[in-house]
Amino acid sequence: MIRFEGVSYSYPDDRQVLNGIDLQIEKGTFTTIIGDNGSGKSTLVRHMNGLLTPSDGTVSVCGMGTFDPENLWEIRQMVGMVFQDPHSQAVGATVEEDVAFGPENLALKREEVRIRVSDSILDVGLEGFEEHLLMNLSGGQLQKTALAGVLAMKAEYLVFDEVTSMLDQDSRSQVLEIVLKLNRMGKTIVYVTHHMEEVLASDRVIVMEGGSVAIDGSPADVFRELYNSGHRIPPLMELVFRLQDSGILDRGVLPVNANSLMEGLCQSM
Amino acid sequence: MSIDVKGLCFSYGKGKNEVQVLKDITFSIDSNESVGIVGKVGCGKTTLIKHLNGLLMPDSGNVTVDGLPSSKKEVCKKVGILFQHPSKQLFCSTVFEDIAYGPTNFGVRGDELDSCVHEAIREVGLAEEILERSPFTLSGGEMRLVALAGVLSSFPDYIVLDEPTSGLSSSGKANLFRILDSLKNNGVGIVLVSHQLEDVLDVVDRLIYLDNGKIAFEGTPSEYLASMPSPVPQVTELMRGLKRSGIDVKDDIFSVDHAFEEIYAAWSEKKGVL
Amino acid sequence: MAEPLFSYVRGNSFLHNMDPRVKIISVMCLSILIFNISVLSHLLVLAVLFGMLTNIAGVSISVAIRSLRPMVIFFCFIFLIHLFFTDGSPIFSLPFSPTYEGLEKGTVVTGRFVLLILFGSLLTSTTRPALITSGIEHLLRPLPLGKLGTTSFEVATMMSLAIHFVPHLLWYVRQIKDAQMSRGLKYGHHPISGMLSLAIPALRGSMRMADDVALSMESRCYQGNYRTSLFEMKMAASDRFVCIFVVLGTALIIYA
Repeated sequence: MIRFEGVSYSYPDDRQVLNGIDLQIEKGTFTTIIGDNGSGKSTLVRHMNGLLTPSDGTVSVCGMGTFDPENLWEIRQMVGMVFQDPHSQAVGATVEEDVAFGPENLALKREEVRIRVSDSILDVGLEGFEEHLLMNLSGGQLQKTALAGVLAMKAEYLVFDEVTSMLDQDSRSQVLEIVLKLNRMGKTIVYVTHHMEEVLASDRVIVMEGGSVAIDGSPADVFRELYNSGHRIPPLMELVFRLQDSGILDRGVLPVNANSLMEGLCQSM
Repeated sequence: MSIDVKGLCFSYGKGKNEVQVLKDITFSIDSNESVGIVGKVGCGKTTLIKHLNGLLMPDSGNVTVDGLPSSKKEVCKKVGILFQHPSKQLFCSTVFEDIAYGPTNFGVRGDELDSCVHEAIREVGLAEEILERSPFTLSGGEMRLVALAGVLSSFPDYIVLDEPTSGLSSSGKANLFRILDSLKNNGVGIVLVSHQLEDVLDVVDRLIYLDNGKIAFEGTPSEYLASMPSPVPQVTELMRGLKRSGIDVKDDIFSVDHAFEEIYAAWSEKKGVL
Repeated sequence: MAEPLFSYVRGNSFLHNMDPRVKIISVMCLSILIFNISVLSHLLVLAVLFGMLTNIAGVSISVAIRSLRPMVIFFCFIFLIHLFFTDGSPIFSLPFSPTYEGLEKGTVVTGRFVLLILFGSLLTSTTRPALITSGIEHLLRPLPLGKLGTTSFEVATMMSLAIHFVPHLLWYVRQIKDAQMSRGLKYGHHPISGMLSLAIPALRGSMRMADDVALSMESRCYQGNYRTSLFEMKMAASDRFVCIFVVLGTALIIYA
């Protein structure tokens, strides 16, 4: 479990980005974090593996506090992180070299590194690209490489910081697909995104606003709350709520795509 | 006044490595309309817009802006381009310098330069305090607005935006479209390039769909929805599905309001019968 | 995207399978040799050696030649300097004429640089980037790097980062160039100021990219001390033989 207790964070120039966050990420869950630009999403998740440490309050991973540098080595093996820009997080020249970077740092046996690398590459569907140069890959393939890089660390918790925001639609859905698969395999996912549609896949949504948690709940509840308070939500969701409000559609269910909404409508009409 | 593209062909590479990216493209954009250019990634959208202000020259065919060939420097001033990934386009040490970059290249100096920059930053709705900051300390949304201000400060007659909504939150998107709308009302031609149909349908007068370097469709958004089998927005997909299953609704619509009215009407009718 | 210069070309030749340490040592020996040569015919011998090795490696010679392209202006420059500024018998009876001695000296000096780059590209095209760095890392181990506050692992990682960073930086520079040109900058007219206006943002951009990379490395437990290497290096008998042969050969040629 990742636990935030009263966490505040200010930049060296005193701009405060997080205000007293209390939060728990349970094992095995899939949490998405949304919020406007500048609401503190990235700052929040960078606390999860000790890249940032709170100015006030504590963050702990499985009981180990990130304030103690002695713990960081273990924490970072448990919490893997993938970042936004596909072009500036690669460390190796080829796919397999980059994926191997993490396990190499752990000073594992070469055979173990090999197994982890090939397993992770298989998990993200990049088999056949092992020896390709990263500079010849597309943004989507680069992000998959980065993903394999954290998988090779055998991290339990995977934190994705707007990993799809520089990708096109097709690669975006491929990456999300892989993330979902990893969650089914038992990994705990924390997924920061701008794309509201991606939120539907998760168990829990956290909406950040001005450095605090504004809403925290299931996608259906969160979307409902956003809709009720006049925020923009994906068009299909907006339609669902309006149909629910006028009694055409049942309130209990939340159709997530055009097909499931159509089935729902055909039943009630 | 218009941008006219006639018979534009363009290839990258030479000899056996040659890849033809654009094939016989012809269209025009008036100075007070907004046009969307959509298509899948790799269909040639970005290559196409680089022709509109002379960054690339066609292999054959020609591009003129208000009658001037695109090789003229004036064209570069007339057509402003906002590229994808704003954080990769800002290159000065303060926001002021970055916004002043374009006008300076076009010979604007002194007080006039100052007023250009201030007008541009007001236009995108950012506070003037931001001018003294480094662009790299800004959030992603602010960076995009600064990049937009950097294009607007040269007072272009046309502005081309490549994937302007990627990485923006929904309120960021709404803000951007508000700015574009006011620009259009002031007679600036808008070209919106996107791989996401939903983002442009709402805001453009006309739509060009590029497929594999060719124009596969050109017309109004509603014509598009009525005639193109795919891709269409989710709401349209829903309406088409409902129609197929025998519910009497229009299927060439994409807005939530429209769709709701249609479904509500169909539902009340059914209910009335019961 | 075009194949980048100095990149690895997969293969299974004798050169590909040679221990990277031996290859690095050999290239170092060859460079020493090249700079001790002042006769054109000796350079030709090395050129023939290069031709043979490329043939053995099964690497197309055009790949190697292509790696010379960015340096063409430099080559022309040093060649012309020597051609015109060496004392000797003039080729034409003009007041400022190239000399025969200049022609020979220019060819030798330029030829040295050309050969140096060609052998370098032979190393990079037959060795995986990771093996080059871990080869260098092994060779650095005996040095007292600890006194300088670093480790051979750190040096090797820095080198591999520096190498693979270049293409990403070029990608970034292209984006800035487009943005600047579409905002009215004409590169053709003022090449020097054009270069400067790119260099500074590129430098700043590379520093920010470096920050990002640092985050990603830190997240993956990078500590700068002992690391496993994905690829194993095995010094076979043939490798030892080549190594001894090259080192002794070089020493003999230089001191004989």
